[in-house]
Amino acid sequence: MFVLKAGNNETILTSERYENRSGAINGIKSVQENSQILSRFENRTGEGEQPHYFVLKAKNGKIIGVSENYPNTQNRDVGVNSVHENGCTTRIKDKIKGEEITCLEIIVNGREEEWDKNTMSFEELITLAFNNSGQNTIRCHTVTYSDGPKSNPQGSMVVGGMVNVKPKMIFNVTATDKS
Amino acid sequence: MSQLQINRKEDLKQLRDEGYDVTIFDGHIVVRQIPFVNSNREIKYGILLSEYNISGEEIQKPKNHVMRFSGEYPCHADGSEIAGIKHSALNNKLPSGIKINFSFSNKPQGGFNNFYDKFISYIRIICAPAFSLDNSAIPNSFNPIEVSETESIFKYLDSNSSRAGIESINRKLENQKIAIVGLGGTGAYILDLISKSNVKEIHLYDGDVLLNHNAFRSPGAISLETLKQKPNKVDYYLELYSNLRTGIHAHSQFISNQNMQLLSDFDYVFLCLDDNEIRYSCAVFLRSNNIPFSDVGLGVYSYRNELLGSIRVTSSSPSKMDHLENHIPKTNEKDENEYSTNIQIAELNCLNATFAVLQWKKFCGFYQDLKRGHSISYSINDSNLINGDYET
Repeated sequence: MFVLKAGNNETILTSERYENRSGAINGIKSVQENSQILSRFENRTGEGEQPHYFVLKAKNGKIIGVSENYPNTQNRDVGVNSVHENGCTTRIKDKIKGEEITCLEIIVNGREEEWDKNTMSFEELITLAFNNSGQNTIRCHTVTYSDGPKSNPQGSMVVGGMVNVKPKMIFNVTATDKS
Repeated sequence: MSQLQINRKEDLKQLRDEGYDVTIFDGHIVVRQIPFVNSNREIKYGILLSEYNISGEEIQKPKNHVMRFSGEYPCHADGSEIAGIKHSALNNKLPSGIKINFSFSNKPQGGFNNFYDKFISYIRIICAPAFSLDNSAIPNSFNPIEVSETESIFKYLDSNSSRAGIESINRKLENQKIAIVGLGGTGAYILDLISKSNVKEIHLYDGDVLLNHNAFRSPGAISLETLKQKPNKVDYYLELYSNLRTGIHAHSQFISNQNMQLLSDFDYVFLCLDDNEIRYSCAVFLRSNNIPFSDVGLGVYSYRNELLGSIRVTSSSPSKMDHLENHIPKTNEKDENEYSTNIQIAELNCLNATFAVLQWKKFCGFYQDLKRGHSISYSINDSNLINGDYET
C-alpha cells in the first residue's frame, strides 16, 4: 500500500492493500493522474465525531485512495485541495527498500513509457524513443515536448539539452527528412 | 499597358476593384460590359468611354461631363429612350475598332470630381432598366483582367492584392530570384504558394519524372494522360504554373556537390530534398555564401494504426546561422530499421511548405516577426507549434 503526504509530513490519502509492489506502483501512477482532475474526488459522510472524508476515484470509478476523517466539511475541502496540489508528486519513498524512487509515466512518440527520473536529457530521450536501438542516435532529430512542468511547459530540445519531467508529459522525437 | 496607370489612380482603381471592366486605350478610359435595354426591350451590352487629359504621367480630373457610348441607344424597361442623358449621335471609329455611336450628357451640380463618380453616375442611369428586367445583368462582372507581359509577371491582374490594398507590401518581394531545390510534395506546394507572389524569377531544380504517387502529395489534380507521358517534374510544373505567371525556369537536373554553384545567385533558396548528404552540403554552401534559405522536412510513422510525427523548417539568414548542425540531417539512413518510413500526406507537405513560405516572407518583412525565430517545428499528436533559435 502507499500513502500520500503533504509538505508538513501529514498523511492526506491512503491506498488499499496491493498483492505486490507493481500493483502499488500502478496505484501511485493512477493518483498522479487522477488527483489532477477535481471531478475524480467524491465527498462522503460517515458516522462518529469526525464523519467527513473523501475518496479519489479512477476514470472507471474504482477507488484508489481514501482520505483522513475530518470534523467538518471545511477541513475536508482543505484536504481535497491538498491532494489535488500534492498528488502529482514524483518523489516516492520506498519504505521496504529504504530508498527514494521516482515513478512517472510519460508519452514518447504516442507510446506510454515509464520513467524513473525527474529530468530527461536529449540523449536519454532518443534511446527511450527508439528502444535502445542506438543506430538512430547519430541522426538529427526534431524533438519537441508539451505538457511539461512550470519550469519548461513546452519547447524543443537539441543535442545536449535537458528538461524537467512531469507525469503525462508528451515528447515527440522524429527524423524530419522527407519532403 | 494600362493596369499600372489604373493602379496609380485611386478613382479608376476603385472602379476596377469593384469589378468593373476598366482599361485605358485610344485616349479614353473605357468600361466594357455595360448592360442596357434596347428599343426592342432586349438586354444588350455596350461600352462607356470617357476622354481624359494627362499632365506629366498623371491622369487629370474629368474635363467635362460628356460620356461616350458604343452600342444602341439605351432605353427604359418599356423600350422608350432614356431622354435625360441625350446629347448627340456620333459615328466615330477608334483605332482599336471600337465604334462610338452616341455621346451622353447628364451634368450634376458642380460637375464630376473624379472618374469613379462620372462612370457610376451614367452606369446607374443606363443599367437600372436592364437590371429590372434581369437581375443577372450587372455592370461589375468581375471579368478576368488581362495584363501584358511588360507590365506584370502575372497573366492577369493580381486583383487579390489590389482589392486588399497591399501592393506596397508586395513590393518587398518583387525583383527576387528564388530557387526551389527538389519538387517533391513539399517543394511543389512551395511553388504553388510563391507562384502567387510577385517575385521575379522562380527556378525549379529536380531531375525526376512525375510519377503516380507524386499526384497524391502535390497541389492540384494531375490527369492520367499527363502521368502516362511521364514528364519531367520541373517541366510539368513550369507548364502548369505558366497559366498564372511568367518567370518560372525549369532545370531538369539534381543539385549535387558538382553543380552547387548554380545556387550562388539567388535571393532565397528552399531546400526540399530527400537526400540528407546533399541537403546538408547545400545548407553549408548557402551559409558560407551568405544566402538565406529554409530547409524543410517531415517525418511520419504509424503507431496502433494511427499516424503521428513532426514537421520541421530550419531557416538560415545572415543574422542567425549557428544552429543548423542541430537541426539539418546530414547522413542518410543506410540500414532500413523499423522506424524509417516514407509516409507523406498531402496536408503535411502543404503545412510544411506553408511554414517555409511564412519564414521567407517574415525574413523579407512582408509579415511582422517579433521573435525572428529560425527553427519552426510542429508535432501532430499534441498540436505543438514551436518557434526557436531566435536571432541574437
